[in-house]
Amino acid sequence: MPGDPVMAFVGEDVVLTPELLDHLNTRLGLDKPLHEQFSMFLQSILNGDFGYSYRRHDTVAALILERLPWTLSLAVTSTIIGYASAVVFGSYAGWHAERRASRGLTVAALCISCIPAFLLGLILYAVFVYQLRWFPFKGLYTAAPDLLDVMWHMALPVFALSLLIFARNLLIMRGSVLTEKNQLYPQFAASLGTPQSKILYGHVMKNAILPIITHIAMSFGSILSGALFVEIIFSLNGMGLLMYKALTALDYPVLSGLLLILGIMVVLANIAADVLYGIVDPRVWRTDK
Amino acid sequence: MRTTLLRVDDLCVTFPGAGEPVPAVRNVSFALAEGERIALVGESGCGKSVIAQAVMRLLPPETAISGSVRLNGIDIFAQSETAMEKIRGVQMGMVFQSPERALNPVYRIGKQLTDPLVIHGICDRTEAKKRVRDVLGSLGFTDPEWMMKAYPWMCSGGMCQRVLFAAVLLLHPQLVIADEPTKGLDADRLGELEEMLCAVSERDGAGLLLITHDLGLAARTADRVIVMYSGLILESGPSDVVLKNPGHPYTRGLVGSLPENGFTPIPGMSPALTDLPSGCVFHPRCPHALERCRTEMPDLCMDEEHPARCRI
Amino acid sequence: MNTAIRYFPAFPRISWKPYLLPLALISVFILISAAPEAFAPYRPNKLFDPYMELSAEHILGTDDMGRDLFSLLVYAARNSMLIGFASGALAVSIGVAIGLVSGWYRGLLDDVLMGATDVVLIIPKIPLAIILAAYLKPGPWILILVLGLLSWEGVARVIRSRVLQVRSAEFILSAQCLGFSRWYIMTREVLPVIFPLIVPKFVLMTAGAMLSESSLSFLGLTDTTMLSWGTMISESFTYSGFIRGMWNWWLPPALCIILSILAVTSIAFIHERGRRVVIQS
Repeated sequence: MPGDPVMAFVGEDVVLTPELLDHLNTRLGLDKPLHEQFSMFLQSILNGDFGYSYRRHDTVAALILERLPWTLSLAVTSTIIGYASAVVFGSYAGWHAERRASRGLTVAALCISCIPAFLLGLILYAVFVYQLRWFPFKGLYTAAPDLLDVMWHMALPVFALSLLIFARNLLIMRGSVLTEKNQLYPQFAASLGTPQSKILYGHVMKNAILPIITHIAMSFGSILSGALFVEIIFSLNGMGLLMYKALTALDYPVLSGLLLILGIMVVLANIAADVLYGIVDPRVWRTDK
Repeated sequence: MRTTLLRVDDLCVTFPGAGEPVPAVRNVSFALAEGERIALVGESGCGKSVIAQAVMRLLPPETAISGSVRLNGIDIFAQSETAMEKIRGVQMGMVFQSPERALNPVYRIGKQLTDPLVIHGICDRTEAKKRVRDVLGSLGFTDPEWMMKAYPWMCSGGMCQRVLFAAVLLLHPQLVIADEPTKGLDADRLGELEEMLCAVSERDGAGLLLITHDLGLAARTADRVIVMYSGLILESGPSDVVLKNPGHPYTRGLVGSLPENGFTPIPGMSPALTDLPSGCVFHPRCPHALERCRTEMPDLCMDEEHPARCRI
Repeated sequence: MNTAIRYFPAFPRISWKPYLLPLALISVFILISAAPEAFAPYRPNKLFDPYMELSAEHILGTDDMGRDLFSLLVYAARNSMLIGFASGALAVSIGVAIGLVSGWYRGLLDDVLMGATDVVLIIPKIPLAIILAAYLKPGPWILILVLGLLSWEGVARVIRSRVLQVRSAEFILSAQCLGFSRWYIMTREVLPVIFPLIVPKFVLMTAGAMLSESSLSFLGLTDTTMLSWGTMISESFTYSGFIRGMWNWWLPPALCIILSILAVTSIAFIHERGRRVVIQS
């Protein structure tokens, strides 16, 4: 495994005697068997001690906590905007599938969903920041975190991420509505004289939205990774940038802390999606057959 | 002489299909008077359900439809979609096949029953709930309150079937179409179903268009019977006449295939709609086929009392 | 309602016209990656003056070391295509194997395999890929392995449910009664039924792998000596191509990445749309 931990945090320029090396190893517990190291790790986690990053001269917990809200606000804002617009436009595209607007939307969504996150960020950056100078060069804020300033800095990153989420989920929603269109209950509702709009937004949408909810949970990982790339391109000081720098510097404490946090977030997202699904679809409660 | 409620003239329905167009219904004409009960009978795929959907104008937009359908004098095909939304439900209603699938699984039954009343502006929600409770009670549900809070998947097929009837009857339409109502029903429920079908026209004076392949049900419930095959009407007339003294060889074969009449099936299978035989559509399976049956398709004059394309 | 599933499903009259454009596009890319010598004007390592402008001899100019950018673009196609398709093939193979075995044998084996699938499903893939990549600094083959191993669970699930459906169909039962061995049945009777599922999944896996490879290369987490479109973009950053406004360095590989992923995804999308049309009629 490249990068011996001790060498990594001490740095490659320092000359170490073998005795000093052994001493450091014992102190850090690196000579103990792996499973013991892991349980020590868990214990310190439960005590709120995520470790210390010798590179950055700060506790891992502090490093992550400082950046977590920024990453979360980027991810959550983009998720809300992306999913909301995907549901609205996707229902339209599915219900009125023969119209030209629907076809145009579908093709556009298909093309956009094929752009990797970093490339979309790159292209937007090149056009809107570099060429047109409409948006700031880097960072979350210029001098101090003032709401309008932050919004200006985050506008393009949020746009990039929500565009990706929108494109992918528009296709899913559209497919879902197309499937529901063929079911019997919309026909029955129509035979009772229910107007088309009420059939779509009342009856069909509640059924069609179910796959999207499942998808939110599964795609949380990819939304986070999208946020990561966007942060790197736009130099936003969030968890993504932290991870990138930790990777290049082989900062293990930071990496393991980040991985843990990411894992927890993914699990929480899954739980939230399960709960949400149970609220929307009453069939989940049946204990039958 | 009762007034004509529904008049279908020369209706032709063609589906675009995956390759060639599929002529599902050809030159169908008939009239239904107020309070009258007509049964459309025939094998699966003969086009009976398509006629029902055409009358309700629920066919997909790519379908090619010609001819005319008049409900109370209103030309159905000339109406805008908004006008149709006002006609459907209050002037005509349909009880679908597969009752469990016709109800939305994520909404409670009470909501699905009260919504149409509120949408059509018939009454407000409180009054609607009361009416729903009454109708559910009259249809034999012992606990209407529970029923209203329940979801469709909590109920058996028979219960869903009755809920469907309730939904249609609540709006008091003048025309009720019942599409294969006996599908999936246990034998002991058949009696209840027949009562419900008859009550529809006796209680409200509504006309009933019954679509079924069950000849016995047709005989017991309907005043008149129309026999269909491969999208065409082969014979029509008062139910006792047609079923006891059938004119057309196909009807004769159908009647003969009933268990009480010997259970003799008609040989062969009904043709695929994309591959229809020349001349008379029934001639490959007809025991009385003549040479000219292969080239000529006999006509039908619906103005007679007991029209038939062919008489033996 | 147990309708007998047809043996070799009669292929409905699907028109293959919509497939033409994406298939042509991806074929061009594959062709270029197979024989780059035929398309590139120079060998990628041949050095000229650095940072040259677009000209007749250098259609896209040169990079910081003086390599012709167009030749680099052409030669980079090979790795990008290879990693994409090979990872897709690997993911699909593992998925099919697991799905087949899981659906056929059912019982405890099924539960264990599906449990493993759930675990793989829940792991956030790209962060894990990033971390693995950082440790291993993978060249093409290790990358194929990693990407393939991370993406098979969707395929496995779909294959398994189809196999479960087919398993209880009558023609399997009759084949068993006739004494055919399990392997024979699996390969000769079950595979043709799941084949229609495999193709779109393979295509989607390939698109995903291309996406992942380009992203990982851009972050500089793959073997830096490997030449792919992603590494080209990464280099354009590290060697001040972006700052100097040298869009000719990073935009062409970016476009190639997008077009190749788009071509591959369109194939899957058109296939899905075609299936839906058939089911509706």
